[in-house]
Amino acid sequence: MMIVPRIFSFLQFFTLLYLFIVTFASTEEATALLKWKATFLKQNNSLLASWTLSTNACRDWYGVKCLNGRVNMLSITNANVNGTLYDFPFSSLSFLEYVNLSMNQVSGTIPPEISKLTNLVYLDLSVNNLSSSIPKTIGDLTELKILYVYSNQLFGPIPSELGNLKNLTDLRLSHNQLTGSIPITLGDLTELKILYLSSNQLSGPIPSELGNLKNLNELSLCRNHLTSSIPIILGELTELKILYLSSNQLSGPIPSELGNLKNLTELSLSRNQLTSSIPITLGDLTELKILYLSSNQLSGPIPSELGNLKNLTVVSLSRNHLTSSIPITLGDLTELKSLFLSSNQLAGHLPDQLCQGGKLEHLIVANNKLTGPIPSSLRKCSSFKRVRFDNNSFTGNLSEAFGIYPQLYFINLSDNDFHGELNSNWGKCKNLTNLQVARNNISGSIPPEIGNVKGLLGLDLSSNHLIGHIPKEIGDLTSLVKLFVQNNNISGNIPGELRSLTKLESLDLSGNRLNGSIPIFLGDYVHLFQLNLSNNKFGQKIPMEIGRITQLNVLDLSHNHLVGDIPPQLANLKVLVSLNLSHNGLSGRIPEELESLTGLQDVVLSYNELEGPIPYNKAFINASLEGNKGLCGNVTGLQPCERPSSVVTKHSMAKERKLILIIVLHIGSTSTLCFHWCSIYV
Amino acid sequence: MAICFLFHIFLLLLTLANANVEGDALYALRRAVNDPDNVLQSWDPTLVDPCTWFHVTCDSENRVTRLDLGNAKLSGNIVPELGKLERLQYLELYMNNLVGSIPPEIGGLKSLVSLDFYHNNLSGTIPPSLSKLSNLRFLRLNGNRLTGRVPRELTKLANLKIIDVSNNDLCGYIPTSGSFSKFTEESFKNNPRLEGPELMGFVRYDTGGCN
Repeated sequence: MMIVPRIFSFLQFFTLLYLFIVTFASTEEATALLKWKATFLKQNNSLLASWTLSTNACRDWYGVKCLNGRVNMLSITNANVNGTLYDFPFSSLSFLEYVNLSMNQVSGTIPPEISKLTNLVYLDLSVNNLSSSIPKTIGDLTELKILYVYSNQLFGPIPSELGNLKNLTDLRLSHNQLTGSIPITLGDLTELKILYLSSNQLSGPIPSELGNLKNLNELSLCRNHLTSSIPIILGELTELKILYLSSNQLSGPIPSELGNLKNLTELSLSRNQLTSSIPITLGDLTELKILYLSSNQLSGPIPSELGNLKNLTVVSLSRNHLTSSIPITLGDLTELKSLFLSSNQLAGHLPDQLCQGGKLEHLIVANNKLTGPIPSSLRKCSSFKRVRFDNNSFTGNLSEAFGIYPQLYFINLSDNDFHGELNSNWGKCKNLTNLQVARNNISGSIPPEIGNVKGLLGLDLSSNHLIGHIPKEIGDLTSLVKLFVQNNNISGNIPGELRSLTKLESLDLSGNRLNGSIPIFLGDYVHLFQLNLSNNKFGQKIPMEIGRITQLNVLDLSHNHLVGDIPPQLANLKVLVSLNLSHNGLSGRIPEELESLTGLQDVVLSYNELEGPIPYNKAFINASLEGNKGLCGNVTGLQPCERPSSVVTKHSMAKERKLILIIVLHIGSTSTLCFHWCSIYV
Repeated sequence: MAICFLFHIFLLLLTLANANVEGDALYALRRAVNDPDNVLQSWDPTLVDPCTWFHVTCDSENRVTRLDLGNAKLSGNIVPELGKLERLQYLELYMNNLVGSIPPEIGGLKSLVSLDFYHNNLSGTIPPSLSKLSNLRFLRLNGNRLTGRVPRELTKLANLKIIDVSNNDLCGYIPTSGSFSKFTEESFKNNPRLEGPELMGFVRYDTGGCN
């Protein structure tokens, strides 16, 4: 009977003792955390306001969770923590399994004492300002499964001790300044699923030991200085979904063994020095969605096997030395959104069925040797957003080749052999900001419907056989920044409606048959830095309003029928560097005001009817002046100016007037003095 | 998890943008400014170079030669990354609402012919590093709130034809040697604390009183 109450009180005692110890231990950890919090630079942190001595750390503190009364989880991500880890109570919090301090402003070093957190399973210090090397002692945290220190300013090497973290599944060290080689011991992390080392300054080869990481799903080593070849053994990482090796200095071939990576959805090897052909085994990567091989030295053909990769959405092979035709099979890729093939030596025609899936948005094939007409499937490709066909030898009738593209914002067809006319369809491409069809064989006139494309910024129709007038509707394109129509057969005058194009930065109408006068509203083009109206039939005088285009650097009005004086207002063009008024009928004197244009470098005034002295300005002295009426000056090829009486008189009269004024003032002052003396003596 | 995904995309975008130094430098400007008129809408960092961007002009080797963003309602800072555009000839940022100081890195623009920062809200001093711009012909910093001295180093700019630092808060003396011998007081007017041209041949006490 007496034993039961004894046992009971015994139990009570130990329960109380246990509870006491638990509470006490929790208080010790709480105190330690508060001591660390006190070192923060900003003390009025609202999220951490709950961290006080009077509250229960395990129950009430933000970001703190306990297990059996000991702090087990510390998660204060994106909490405006501005401090260091120097006073972090590593020794007091040995029960911590989960630490997340990401997205704060934690600076300073990662102290080696971090190894005291022996139970740590999850450590996230990412997106902070930590600036140190990764302590070797992190290798002691053998329970660690997840280690994120990306986006800091960590430097020094990746410690080979990280290879001791046998339980690691996810390791992210990206976006730091880590140097040295990738330690081969990382190959011991056989549980690893994710390895991100990108955006550092790692050098040396990709260790073939990484081929041991049989569980790897994602490997990113991009944006480093890695060299040597891609190890063949990477082809054994059959669980790999994502492989990014781009932006390094990798050389050698793309291993055909990469074709074994059956689960691969994204492969990026761009911006390296890879050589040889694209392996046909890449056609086995049936899950592949994204393929980036651009900016390398790959040669040979594009394998037609790529047409097997039905899930492909983005293919980029630009800037290589690829030859032969684009495989017809690429037309089978119904999910294709982006196809980048520019800057290679591809020949032949575009595949027939491109865009048959109706999803193709970006088609960039510029700078190749492609020929033939545009496939009819592209005429109906209403998903087009950005298209570059420039610098090839495409042929065909422009209006038949292209249709209406409601989402198209950029198209460049320049430097090809298209013929036919620009039709009104372009006016229905409501999102178009850039239309370039320069240097083709386009005929007909500029369709007035182009004025419907209100957001057009750049229009280049130069070097074609366009006829007719500049439509007044061009004046509706009030956002226009660049207007190039040079080297066509356009006639008529510049419509007054073009006065609204006040955003123009560069205007070139040269080499046409434009007539009439140079409009005075050009003076409103306050952003214009370049104006070329040369080789036309513009007549009458150069408007003085040209002098209001004060940002003008280049002015070319040569080869026209301009008459009258050069307006002195051109002296307002303070940053003019190049002036060409040659081959006109300009008469009178070169305004002496132009002497002030000290920034001028090239001046061409030849073949006019100009006379009189040249301005005393280096650019005019070195200018092309031949074929004028009576220019004179101290310049080779010109007769010296006789003292033209009017000019000398003007100058000397001014001098004389100045002299008289000085004498009068002087006399005035002495007489005052005289008076003073006189008055004193009186 | 959404953050991880976004970061993933960010990494992918960076892979695409690759080390196109000039595009990255210009994109740094885009990130640093407020652009209410969407003048920089065409500035797509995923393109291999910025040569199809509007208000950017490139040469035949796809290197940036002009940046024309005058009177574009931009506010924010001029980023030091712009100093990496080694073939830039014309840097036109005039008539905006740019603040902060002129980064000394601008002195790295070795091909620069024209530097137009006039009519902004720039403060701080004129960096002496601008003296490295040996091809500079036009320097217009007028209509800002620049302080400090006109660096004497600028007199080394042999090609300088036009300078305008009027309407600022500069102090000290106006250099008169080298290329500055041809400039008049017009280029320096409306700087209430500017003391006037330095007098050559007189002992100069660098009182440091220019504060």
